[in-house]
Amino acid sequence: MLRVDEVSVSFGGLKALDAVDIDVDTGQVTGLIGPNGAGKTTLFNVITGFQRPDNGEVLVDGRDVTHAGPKKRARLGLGRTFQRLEIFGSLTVLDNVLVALENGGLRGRHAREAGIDLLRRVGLERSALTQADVLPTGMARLLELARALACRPRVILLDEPSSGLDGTESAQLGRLLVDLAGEGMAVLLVEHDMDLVMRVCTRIHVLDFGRIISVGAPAEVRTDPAVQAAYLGGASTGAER
Amino acid sequence: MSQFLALTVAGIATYGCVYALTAMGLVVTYTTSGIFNFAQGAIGMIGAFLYWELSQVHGWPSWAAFTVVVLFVMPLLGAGLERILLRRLEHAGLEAQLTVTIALLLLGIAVATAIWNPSTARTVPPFFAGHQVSIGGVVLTWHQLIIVGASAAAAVVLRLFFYRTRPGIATRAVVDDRELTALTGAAPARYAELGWAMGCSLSAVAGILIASQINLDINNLTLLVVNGYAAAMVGRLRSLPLTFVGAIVLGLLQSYGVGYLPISVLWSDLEQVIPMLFLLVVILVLPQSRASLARRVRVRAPRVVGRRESLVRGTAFIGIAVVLAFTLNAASFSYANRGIALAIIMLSLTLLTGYGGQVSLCQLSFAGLGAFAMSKVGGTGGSLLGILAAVGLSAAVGAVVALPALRLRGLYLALATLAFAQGMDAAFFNNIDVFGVSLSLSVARPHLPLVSVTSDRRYFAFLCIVFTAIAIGLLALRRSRFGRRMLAITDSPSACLTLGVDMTRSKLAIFTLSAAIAGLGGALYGGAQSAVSPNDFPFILSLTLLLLAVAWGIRTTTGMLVGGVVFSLGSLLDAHLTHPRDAFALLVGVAAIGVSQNPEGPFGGRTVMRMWRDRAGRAGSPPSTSAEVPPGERLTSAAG
Amino acid sequence: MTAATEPGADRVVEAPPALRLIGIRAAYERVEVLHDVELSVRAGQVFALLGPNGAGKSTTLRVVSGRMRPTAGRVLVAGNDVTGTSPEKLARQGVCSVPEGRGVFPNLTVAENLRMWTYRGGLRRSDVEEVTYARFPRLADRRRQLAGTLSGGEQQMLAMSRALSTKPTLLLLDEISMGLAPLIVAELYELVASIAAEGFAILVVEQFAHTALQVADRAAVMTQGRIDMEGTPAEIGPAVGDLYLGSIRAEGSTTE
Repeated sequence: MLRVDEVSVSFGGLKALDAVDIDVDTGQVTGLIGPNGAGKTTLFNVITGFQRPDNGEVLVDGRDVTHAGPKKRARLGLGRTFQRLEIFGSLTVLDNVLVALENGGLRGRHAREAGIDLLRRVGLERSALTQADVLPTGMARLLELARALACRPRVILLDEPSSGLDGTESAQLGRLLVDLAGEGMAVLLVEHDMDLVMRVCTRIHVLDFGRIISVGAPAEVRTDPAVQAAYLGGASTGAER
Repeated sequence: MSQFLALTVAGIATYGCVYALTAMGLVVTYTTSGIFNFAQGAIGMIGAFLYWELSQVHGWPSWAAFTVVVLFVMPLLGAGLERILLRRLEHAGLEAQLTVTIALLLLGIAVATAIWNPSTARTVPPFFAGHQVSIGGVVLTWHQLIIVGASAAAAVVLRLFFYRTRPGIATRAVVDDRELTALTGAAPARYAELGWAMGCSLSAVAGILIASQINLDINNLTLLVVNGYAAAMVGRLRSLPLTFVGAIVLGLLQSYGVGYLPISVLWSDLEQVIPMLFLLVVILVLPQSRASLARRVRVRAPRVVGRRESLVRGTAFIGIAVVLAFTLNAASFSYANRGIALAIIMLSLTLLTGYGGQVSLCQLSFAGLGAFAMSKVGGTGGSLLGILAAVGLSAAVGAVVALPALRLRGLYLALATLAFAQGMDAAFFNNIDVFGVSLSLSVARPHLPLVSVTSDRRYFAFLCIVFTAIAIGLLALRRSRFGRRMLAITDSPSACLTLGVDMTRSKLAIFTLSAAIAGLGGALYGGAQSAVSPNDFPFILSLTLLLLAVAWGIRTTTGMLVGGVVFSLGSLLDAHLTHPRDAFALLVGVAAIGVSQNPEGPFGGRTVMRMWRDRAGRAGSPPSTSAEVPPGERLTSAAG
Repeated sequence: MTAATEPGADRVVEAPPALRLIGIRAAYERVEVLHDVELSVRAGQVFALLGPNGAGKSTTLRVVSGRMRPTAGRVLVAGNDVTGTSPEKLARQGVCSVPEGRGVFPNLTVAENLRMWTYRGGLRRSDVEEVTYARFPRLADRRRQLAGTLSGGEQQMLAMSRALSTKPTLLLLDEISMGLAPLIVAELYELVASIAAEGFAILVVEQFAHTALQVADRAAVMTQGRIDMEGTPAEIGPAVGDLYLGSIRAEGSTTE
């Protein structure tokens, strides 16, 4: 569904992404993990059109969108959340979702009902009339997720959705992600909560120094010595530069 | 050839170098404190007047007066302003920051007017009057040489300071990474103070040096130094060498323009138009992605007023207005009617700035266009076609201004609109082809089909109804689909992009609609006074308008009503009070500085409890400097 | 206030610990991110604070360096209560904090960066340059170069030169290995060990747990804003892997 092919990005001399390949399939939650500064957010920005790659291609459902802007990609069914929150702070929680729904053509009561449904899905229906600015971080992330879902994306990219959530909330989020995949969505998850990643993802890509160092099922990735080295350091191989 | 040389010398020595001084001051204050100082010109003007006072009135030798003003008084003033007022604004929204320095600008003018009666002519003799040299056939006065020398010296001293001294290096370090600077043991706040001290000092030098070349006039001096904005923009508010170059280029352009271009009807005041055109061009060609000032500022939005509540309040207000229309004494209406008309114009700011997040400093220019159209099309009978023309013309011009402005954000948009407003002042409002030889146009009150509203009392009620209708309309707009989208765009352009929201159309619509409201207000304002003159729409009043709007709560319609009435009552105050002169501006300046501590204004539904909570919360909030964002994450700036 | 008057303070004659945190709580907005954090670091000790992302390690360092005010609890540096002291004052008193990924001023030259280190009281420019250039001759060759144009490793050396030349009572290092190749990380940690040998107290926050544990005398693991475990590197080491890469035991997987 989403395919990233040989994408490279450098910021003045520093290679942030080096020939990265990723496939995100419909009906699955795909994980993207890696230590801090590995290039995950940069990759998100390349996929969603905020960052132009120096090389490589981004394909959504087989269509090359490498040179399309974020808006066009959104219309092709690409949704995302942000690591640094991008909620509409001066609107209410419900209005945040309504902006997206109304942009998709829903009006009036239909939009409101759909909005409440979405909020219920992420567990925010009781805060519908709260101003979004005062939400704690965790709930604000869920709001971003609900808002992204309002656009009925075919591929959704989540940048650390669980940070700020407690154990039960994050378990609920995990179930929601699996459900979304089950409904035919392709989910790409960047996450630091390894329990969550290992539980919900069918495939995991590990990024280190802008390169994919490991791909596979959770169990394979977890025992991969290269991954251990990337995360824990030490004398083992890691990425050669 | 000799004319060319003479113009070149005048361009460099009279204007260019003075602009360089003040523009470098602007850059220094901006880089160290992050605040663009609109009052830079007023501060230079005050410096020049102080110098005049000491040297001409008290008979001090000029070197002593110069030293005291430039090296002691102005640096202290700058440091004091930074410490008392501006330091609190570090995390405030752009409009609050602009408001405070605009208030300083107005306050500076008001204080100067109160102390130094503008009707008295004053001159400052040039340094070494009578001495001159001839270089290659061009005569240079010693004073001109001193101007060139002073600006070159200032450039060199600043360069040495920033690159050779530890405080200078620390100042650059603060710009680079404020937090790390603190971690090395250098106190970042001290360097903003230092920056303001230097900035004020530099603008005083500029003011004193230029004062002998032109008359010592409060407005002239203030505005002249405003031209430094354009030069500072060439340096993108960062680079001192580029700023210097920009200043010299601007000085030359101005000099050649005045010397070679025919004094045409359209450009009767080239000296003022050229710097503003220059500023506009510089802002528009400036690469926005790098110069973007996107910052995350948390603004607590006021409570959304529901439909029923807005209708109830509107009806109540109209009721009160009708009672007032019958009871107020006849003399009050000239002020009351102007006040309500101004309030209507201010509603355009609620839409554009309050909801749309775009700061405009040219709303009175649109109002002036509205009054112009009403006068020309409405005729003496006040045909409703005139109102249509007023709305249409201002909306059309608004759309034209908005097209380039759509790329701009924050400070750059504000400065572009300021340039537009000043250009309109010079080329349109003060043009005898527009306003006639008497520089006055009569504007009729609209002629309604069923009921006449031309008497003062009825016009008052009519204005109140129009205000209420627009206010209720705006509140409805705020609650609508369009309103949600408008606020969403203001809050997070990046998120709007990922949701596929079309931002260009919305922004254009907001700007155009806002200009239309201002135009309508202007037409009605003209009717209130039955005639308008260029003095009704100078750009400086647009600044006052924004200031009052922010002070009374730019996101609230009630605030605009109060703001408009206060604005109008101000002239009542001035008419009855001879001492101090310009008392109203003094009050406004002081009030705005005070009220800006609460950026949402008194009607924003922000209780003291809530402010206190915010303040407590802020203690632990993470820093939102862009410095810590890796390049790939700078979405807000890239996406704007 | 000194540690001697503290009821819980060590009654031993020896000097108070270089750093002691007592019941620290801290919050962003209204969300508490540190819950009752306690730890102490002695002079000459390298203390490694480990844990997954978002556990509160960096926040702990922000509190210690004065960049963030705790909502409760106290920070003692060399026995003195410094809770709420501004970062610049703390820095002048000898708390040297190298923040995550950016311990240098990118738009200042190497020499200008070194000049900034002299804000720690009583230091002269020549002292800083001497110490730094003797230790890192590569920086001497690049003294006129902008720090931002140095390689990642060189930047980190420049950042560490502050620790070397300012002789801090307490050194705080936040993820100094971030974005660096393993070889350079190893080099950096040798440097950390040698700085510790000079008797400074060092608090290291690190994601590369194994690397940090190699030089640490003591370590703690933090998750969800709490210190879960504290002990010697040998005690902590085996537990870390699970914490980072998650346990899939919950799903009943057979891999473990």
